[in-house]
Amino acid sequence: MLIAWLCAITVLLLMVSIAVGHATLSVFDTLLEILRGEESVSTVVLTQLRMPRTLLAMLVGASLGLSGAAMQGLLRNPLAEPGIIGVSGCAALGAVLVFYSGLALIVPMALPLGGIAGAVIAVVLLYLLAGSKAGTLTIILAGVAINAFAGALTSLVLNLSSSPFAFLEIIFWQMGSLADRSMDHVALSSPLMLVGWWMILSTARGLDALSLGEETAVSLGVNLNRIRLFVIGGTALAVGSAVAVSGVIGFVGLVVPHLLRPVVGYHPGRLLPVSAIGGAVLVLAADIAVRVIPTGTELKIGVLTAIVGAPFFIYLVRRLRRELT
Amino acid sequence: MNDNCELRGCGIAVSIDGQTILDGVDISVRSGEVVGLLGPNGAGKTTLLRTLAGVLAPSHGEVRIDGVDAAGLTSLHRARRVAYLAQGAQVDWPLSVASVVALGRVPHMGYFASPSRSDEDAVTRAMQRTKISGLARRCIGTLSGGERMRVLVARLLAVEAAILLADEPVAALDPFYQLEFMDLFAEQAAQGKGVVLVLHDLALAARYCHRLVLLDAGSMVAQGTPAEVLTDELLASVYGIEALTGTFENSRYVLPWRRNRD
Repeated sequence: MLIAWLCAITVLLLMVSIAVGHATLSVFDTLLEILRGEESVSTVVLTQLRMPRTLLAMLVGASLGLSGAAMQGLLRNPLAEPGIIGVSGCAALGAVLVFYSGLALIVPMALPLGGIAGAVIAVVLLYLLAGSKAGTLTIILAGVAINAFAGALTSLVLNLSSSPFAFLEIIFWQMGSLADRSMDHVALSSPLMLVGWWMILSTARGLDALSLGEETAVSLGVNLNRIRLFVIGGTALAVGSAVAVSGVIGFVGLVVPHLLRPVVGYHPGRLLPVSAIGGAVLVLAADIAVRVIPTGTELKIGVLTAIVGAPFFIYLVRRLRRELT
Repeated sequence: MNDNCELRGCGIAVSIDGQTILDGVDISVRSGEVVGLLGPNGAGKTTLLRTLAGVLAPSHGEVRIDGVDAAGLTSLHRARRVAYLAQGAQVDWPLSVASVVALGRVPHMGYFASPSRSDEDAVTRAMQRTKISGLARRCIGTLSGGERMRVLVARLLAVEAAILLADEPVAALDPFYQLEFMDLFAEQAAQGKGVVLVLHDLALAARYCHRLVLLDAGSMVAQGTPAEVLTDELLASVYGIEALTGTFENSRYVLPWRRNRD
């Protein structure tokens, strides 16, 4: 029932997202033109600007929501978010290095590839630091260390960048945006995301059992190392490729599972698919909002999610505090 | 479902970070038996139970389930034969009572499959046995200590394993609940299960257990019937206490009375 509602909202937002933008066009007429095989400014706008943008918003949002839910389930902490293990920080660093080296200007696809490489390195580092049998706290601490180091290196790159143009590019990219992305971005990121989604979704039952603690989960036949590997690896693939194509979009992975958890009776497993759709809804809506809100330069989506997300999160924390006392 | 079963630990040794926690302990339980695992704090009771449950791999020795080395079994197969209730068993999310009990069916379900009819029946039976059917929709966090323990024991029963292991299942409960749970475990044994309980309450151990295994500093110092194990000498040397003992209604009782060392 809930999934049906969320899907309906997704479809609605999808249509709005296709219809809204700088250029005013009739979606219906343009679709007819595409069907007739004609090419006009409208068809180009639709197929090469709005379609990839809309698809990426869904893919990125689903990745963030799903990974956030899985990470909260694995660490059994409602404040965990997908970036906690360092994948977003390292993916951003990888992309920034591509900017800095100038490779981004020569090969456009080097940017997302750099981001994905960064995310993979983050997971390797995490396993080297925390070991394959690490407990929750070790994973969080290793993630904090990796995040801090990635942040420091990103600052170093900014510090050393001689061209103010590159500097601005990097800063803007980090804010997160889905504008001016092509179908190439979709083609590059979606296979990796799908593999990541499959890995994460396969841990649903294990995450349910984990609510009774690690010992009990193991006694129920859950392979803890596999669950960890699949949640962390799946998050690296999904969020790593999301950051690689969109930059850093915060708060989605934190807030979406948090909001939807009571609706699924707090089941960590059932929360996974619902959070994926919820994340897609939120990022689609945010990406429509940045196009509609009349600011001089288009708002960056990461800035919007943070501005709306942070106060909302404070509200959630206050509500949680009331429930606990 | 209550076929003959046997769980046996042979020469179980566990070292963690170079420190020996268990040093060659033998223990066994079979259908129809309640075995009590006794010993002072730090004797290695929990470690032994965790090893039997497959949560911890022994450094030496092996755990045999129905005569087969458990290390060779798949984790799901093992989980269906041996159910384990951890000490102070936690529940991390505010799940409903029915959801917590249903987690006992995890070893019987695949990665994506939804609960089958037999899973639902097992959950219903476990909830009826522990008298929590009326609490099914309640959030676990709103229950009293005794009700919460009923839910966790129902989760243990819902596995429908042949062997039940429980670590201090009656600690921190009032006498009514303590007797209720001991009666429940005794009934499970009478129905053909093998039960191993870690206990601190010597009186309950003497009354309800068919056999006792007494650990001290990682080694087994005695095993046998309650009368053979709970002797004045062993209570003095292992626990450092004197106890009043006697017989009432054909059952032996032990009442810790005073310390005999500082």
